[in-house]
Amino acid sequence: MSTLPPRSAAGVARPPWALGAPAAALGTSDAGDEPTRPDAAGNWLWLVTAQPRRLLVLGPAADGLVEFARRRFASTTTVMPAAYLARTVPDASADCVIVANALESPAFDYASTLWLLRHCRRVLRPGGVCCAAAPNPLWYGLLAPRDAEVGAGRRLARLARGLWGAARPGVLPQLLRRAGFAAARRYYVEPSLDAPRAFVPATGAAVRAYERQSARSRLRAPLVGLGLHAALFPDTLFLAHV
Amino acid sequence: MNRELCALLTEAGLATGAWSDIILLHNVAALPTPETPRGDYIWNRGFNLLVLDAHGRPAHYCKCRRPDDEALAHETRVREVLARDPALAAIVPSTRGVASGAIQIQVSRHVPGESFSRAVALLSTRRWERAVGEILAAVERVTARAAELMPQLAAPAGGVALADEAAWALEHLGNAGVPPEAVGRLARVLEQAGRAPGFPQHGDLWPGNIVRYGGSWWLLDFEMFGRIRIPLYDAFHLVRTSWHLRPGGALPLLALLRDRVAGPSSRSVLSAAARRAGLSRAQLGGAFVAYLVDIAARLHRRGMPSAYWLPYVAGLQRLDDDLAAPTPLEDLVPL
Repeated sequence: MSTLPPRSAAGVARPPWALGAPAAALGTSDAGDEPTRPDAAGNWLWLVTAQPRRLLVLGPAADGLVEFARRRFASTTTVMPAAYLARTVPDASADCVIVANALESPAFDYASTLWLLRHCRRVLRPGGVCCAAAPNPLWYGLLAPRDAEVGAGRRLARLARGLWGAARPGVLPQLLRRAGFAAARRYYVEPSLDAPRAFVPATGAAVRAYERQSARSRLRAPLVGLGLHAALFPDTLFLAHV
Repeated sequence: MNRELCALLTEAGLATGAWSDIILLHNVAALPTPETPRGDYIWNRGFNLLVLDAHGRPAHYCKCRRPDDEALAHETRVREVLARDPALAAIVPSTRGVASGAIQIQVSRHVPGESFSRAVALLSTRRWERAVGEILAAVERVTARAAELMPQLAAPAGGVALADEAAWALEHLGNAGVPPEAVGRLARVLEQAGRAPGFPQHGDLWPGNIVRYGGSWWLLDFEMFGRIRIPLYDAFHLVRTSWHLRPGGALPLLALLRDRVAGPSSRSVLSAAARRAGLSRAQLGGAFVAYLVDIAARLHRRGMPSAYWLPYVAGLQRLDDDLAAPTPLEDLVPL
């Protein structure tokens, strides 16, 4: 079992503008919020990587993602605590490193995040990719109070880390560049990286297309129009290639 | 981006080589899924892709499933045939299927208009009635052409026995806990209704599968197309689901037909559809029962949360109360 924070297990608290059309019980297929299999968490990985010879997941990570990777990529998947990367993995030995939830830990400040990302760069072969996730502090800090499993102190700590920590969406791309990666591509994830229903490239055209396609609440339209895309999505994923 | 996916999209005529051109949607199951697909369980599905053009506009919609997913293969076959027909060029988006050993992809032209599921809440009752009537007329054009182009989907010349069409659903509901006496009453009503003119139905005609674009109603999601031949199945389903999306519209179908606001328009739409289908009042009553039984069993069988199928089972219970009265078959649907 992973040691993910409760937000992934209980689902993400959704603000009013995140609610879709009340159509869930109408169609007999593709009807909104159908149940999602946990291993669907790994489909994006298949889209990003063809057949990695070695895949490293720096824990904690969603069970579904790890299950998918182990089944799909057989014995090449290794899950390890982030701190072990420096000690145990040789240079240029992996094709993909996933840093899903590790950077949310209070232990990761600027210096240690940069240290970790430099080691990610070191262990990747040419053509390899680092997948780093950054949660949206507005969602997990302010909106998580709806989640009864998370205490107020923990929520405030999350908000503080999200607003000022090293893993926030505004800072992570800079750290990836400083660690030696090429420019990172950014994707919005909904409702969370642990149980993703949608991955949207972080461009205005793609977000507008997604909003039109997914028949979301009309309350989201002003935020889309103002370009406040980051407020609409709970998680951001950065893909940085070597 | 994954080379296998890239090669398949290229084979389908799409010029995309980067994931930045692609939005991943409806991601509900890993590909490949570990279990062999059974029936039409929702988790047999994989994910969908929305492919953008060079200007960032949606150009193609792709359904990605297991290579042995029969529902998608069926839909692709049907859509490829229907979309080639010039008479249906403004109703069924052009479609192509490609597959490898690991994945099956249906690539279709993206229809950029507004989904009926968004528009329906804002329509006046009169405009709702007109829109639903137009949609049903479009569906009937499609199903009539489908019966000509794909004779295997057409109903037998003597019509369909409603009891036979709903037999699997009654058995499923009985196994799911619906009381045997209620199942028996429903079965007797269907036997009594006898045979009715059958037509291949779309099978999933709810507003989310209908798009208004370029002055036409476009139909999406043909996975169930032709598998159901109960007359007026699409009409019952569209009336119920499209009214459901309107403010205060969450009513069982029977209550909706008796409702002071929704009733007149709903009855008008259904009686026009029944006339076009050549159904007698008794056959209409039988088709109504068959629809309620089929949709309740189908949604329950999907393994979806109870919120999805409970309203349909509740509607069935209400119908059973009426049948216990008993109500003559001719008076079952208050048209």
